[in-house]
Order: sequence, then C-alpha cells, then structure tokens
Amino acid sequence: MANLNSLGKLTSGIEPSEKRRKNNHFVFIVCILIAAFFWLLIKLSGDYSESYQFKVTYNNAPIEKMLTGIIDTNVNISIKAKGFQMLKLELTEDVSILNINLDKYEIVNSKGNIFYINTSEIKDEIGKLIGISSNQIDISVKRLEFKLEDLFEKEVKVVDRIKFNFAKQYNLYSEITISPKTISIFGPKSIIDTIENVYTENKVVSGISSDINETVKLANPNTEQLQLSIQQVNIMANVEKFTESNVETTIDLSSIKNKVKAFPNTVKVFFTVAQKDFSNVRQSMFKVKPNLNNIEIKTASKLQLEVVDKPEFVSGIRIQPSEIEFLIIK
Amino acid sequence: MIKIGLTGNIGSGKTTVSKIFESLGIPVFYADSEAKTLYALEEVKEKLRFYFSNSIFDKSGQVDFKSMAEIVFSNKNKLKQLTDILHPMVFEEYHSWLETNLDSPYSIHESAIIFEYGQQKYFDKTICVTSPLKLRIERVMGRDNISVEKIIQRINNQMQESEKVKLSDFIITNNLNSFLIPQVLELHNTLKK
Repeated sequence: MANLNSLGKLTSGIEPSEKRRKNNHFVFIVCILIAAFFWLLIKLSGDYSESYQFKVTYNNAPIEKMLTGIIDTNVNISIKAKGFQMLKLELTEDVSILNINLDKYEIVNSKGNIFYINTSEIKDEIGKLIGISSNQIDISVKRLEFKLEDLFEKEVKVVDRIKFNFAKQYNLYSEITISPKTISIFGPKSIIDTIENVYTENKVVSGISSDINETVKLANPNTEQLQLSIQQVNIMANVEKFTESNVETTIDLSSIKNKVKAFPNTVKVFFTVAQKDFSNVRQSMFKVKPNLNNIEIKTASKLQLEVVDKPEFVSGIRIQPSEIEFLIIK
Repeated sequence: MIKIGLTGNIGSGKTTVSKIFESLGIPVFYADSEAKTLYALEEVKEKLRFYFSNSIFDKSGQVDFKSMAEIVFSNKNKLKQLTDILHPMVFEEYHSWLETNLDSPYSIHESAIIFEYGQQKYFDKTICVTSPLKLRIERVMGRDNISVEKIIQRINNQMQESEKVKLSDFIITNNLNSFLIPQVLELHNTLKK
C-alpha cells in the first residue's frame, strides 16, 4: 500500500512539466501560422506579371460570310495583376480558350479572304473574362487574322440511305418519296461546288408491313463549313402484301417473217403482284415474243423470249422456259 | 408401220419432243391425256370407287385429279391398281388409233410408264427422253405449281432414268447444252427409212 502511494506521488510529480512542453509546441505552431499568413498577405498584395497562351476561337461571323480558317490559332497574353487577382485567376478561371465574338468588333479585310481584328479592341473583353482591368493586359500581337469566305447557296437533291427490310410477302407498292426532294445548302463556293447530293443518315428499318412514313436526319458532309436549310426529311412509301402468280400464254411469233413452229409454243410467265391487284390480272395483258436482235432466223437454233407487254402493276417477271427451239415450216 | 414408244420421267420434256415429231407429220398418241378422258366413263368410275374411296370424287361426281394424285403418288400399290384399271382401256384406244394412221412410216405412243409396266413389248422401238434431275424439278415446279417434296415423291415412284436408258433403243437428251430439234430430226430420218 505504501509503495503504491509513493508511486502515485512520483507520477503526479512528472505531469506538470509534460503539459508545459505540449503547450509550448502549440504556441510555437500558432505563431508560425500567423507569421505565414501575414507573409502571404504581404506577398499577395504585391504586383506580378504572368504570360498565358490562349487558343483562339471565333463565333458569330457576319451573316453573309463563313469562317473557313484561323490563321492566328494561339495568342500570348501577359497579365500584370496583384497576387490576389492572379491566385483567383489560377484557381477559378479557365484561361486556355479565348472565344472571340466577331459580332462585337470591327472586322478589317487584310487581303482576299483574310480578315483581322485589332487586339486592342479585345482587351476589355479579356479583362471582363478574367476579372481584371484592360490596362493590366498586354497582347503579344496587334492583330488576329482569320479567313472569311462569302456564303453561297445551292439547291441539292436529298438521297436516302435507309435500308428497308420487309416482313414476309410485303414490299414497296409505290416509289419511295422524300419530302422535300431538295434542300438548300450554304457554304463557301469551294465547298458547295463539290456537293451534288445530301444524304440521309444510315438507318435500317425492319419488319415493315405497313406504309412507310419515317423522319430521318440529314448527314451534313462538312459540319464545320456547311449549313443545311433543314436538318431532317420525311421518307414515305406505300407498302402492300404481294403474292407470286403465273399465266400461260402463247408465244407471239408474228415478228418472224418465215412461218415457224415453236417448241414449246406456250410459256408460263411468273410475276409478283400486290394482293389488291391480283383480281385485275388477265392472261391477255401479257405478250411474249422472241428477241430477234442480232438473230439470223435461218441459222439460229434457239430463240430467247422476252415479255413485251405486261400490266404495270406486276413485277419480278420470269418466263419459263426462257428460250425455245423452232422449226421453219416450208 | 413401225410402232415407237416414247417415254421419260416426269419433267424430262417428252411432250415437247412429241410435238416436234408431230410437226414433222408423225402421228403421236398421248397415253396420259387419253387416260384422263377415260375417267369420265362410268365403268372407270365404278372401278375407282371400288379400289379408292369416294374422296377422290368432287361434288359434281367427277374425279378430282389432285386428290387422286395425292393418293397414287404416295402409295405404289394404289398407283399400280390405277394403272391396271386404265392400261387395258388405253391400249384398246391406242390400237383403234393405230388403224387410222397406217399410212405413216411410224407412229409414236407417248407415256411415262412404258418400262414400269412392261409395255415395251407392244412397241418395235423405244425412245427415252432424259434430262438432269435439277432441270426436271424446275420444269415441274413451273408447270404444275407443286412443291419440291411432292415432285421428288413422284420421281421416286418412277423407274430410275438410268434404267430406262438401258432399256431404250434411242436416247434424246434434253438439257441446257443440247438442242432437241436436231436430235429429233436425226431420229426421224432413221425411223422413216
């Protein structure tokens, strides 16, 4: 018990010196921080200059012209400012791109299609952009050059690039129509002279079993330098269910001067027809004749057949047999 | 007068060859067409009712050839029964027909089943029209509007073309590379001598 008490006294005897040492450390650190803070305030209130490189872009070109090139793609801008402003600039502003609104400045023609703006005019804009006065800015060049070309208009045909996959037995009943068939394109003459058609986007439409009415986007072949009067068109077509059928018809040999006998003398004409037109098909609507082009009837062994008359509403014509043998009757 | 039997498997082009012979003035007896006319006879109908069911007759009491074909081309026994009914009557007609064509140097009897039923004994010579299987199938599909499976079923009911070639005296090849008319003319010149 006595030992324990003496140990307790010993322990309480060490404690005050340890606490004092810790307090000293804390005071020291606080002093250092206060000193650093004041040092920073003094430093930031000083004047600094820094040079930045900006990538130059433009917008709002004059309505009758189009920006076709940037000659001065980068510009060095030196900024002289208080440390506080520089710090704010570094921390908060994206200073890598200088986007110049051409609508606000005087555009001067340098030569041909090369134009420029005076950099003195854009100092205010840069100042506002980064939150400093224009007299704190120095731009390395006096002018920024770029190319503007006159906008031309041309009417071009719209061509569809849509693949239609039909449901079984279904097919087109009418031509595919595009509305509008033509559009206007605007751009530099050198560009629009190379363009004859504007294409729709590539698209696949599957399982079609009813009339087609699709709105599709147009693909701009040169998004940088070309504008389209409209961005999308309508594709329309009638779709019907089709069936295959055939008629047997006698071969018309009247175009052969000699009297001939054909083997066989009848052929089957196979065709595809929309079901709604099926009842209108008549055998008499078909006429099959031999193709006598470049044929010497007295020496020929076979005659190729062709369908010379057929109803407009049938397609996929096939003749069986497609050629015949014949005898000249004396 | 020389009696010629002209045969060949389904879609081989027998009728086209027969028509060429006809255009050369040779009388041709079309056995299959003749057989079809016999179906209208009451005695034939009676036998058909006996061997086949009433389902082969349509509402008007006439033979429905489509139903008949379904049965006989899927059953060789039924096909033989049908041939046995019609064959004697067809040949009776043929012999009468021959009497009316005696002035011709030769005549032709066109039938698909000459060798199948041993009918070659009725003829002095036989001609077989041959054609590649693919072409035959294509022709029948175009002509009769039936499926490949049914065409093959009918082909399988016939004697192999190679067997028919062995049994025949003359062969006419009907493929995309051969012309029919020169072959028929050559045969015509041989037969009319």
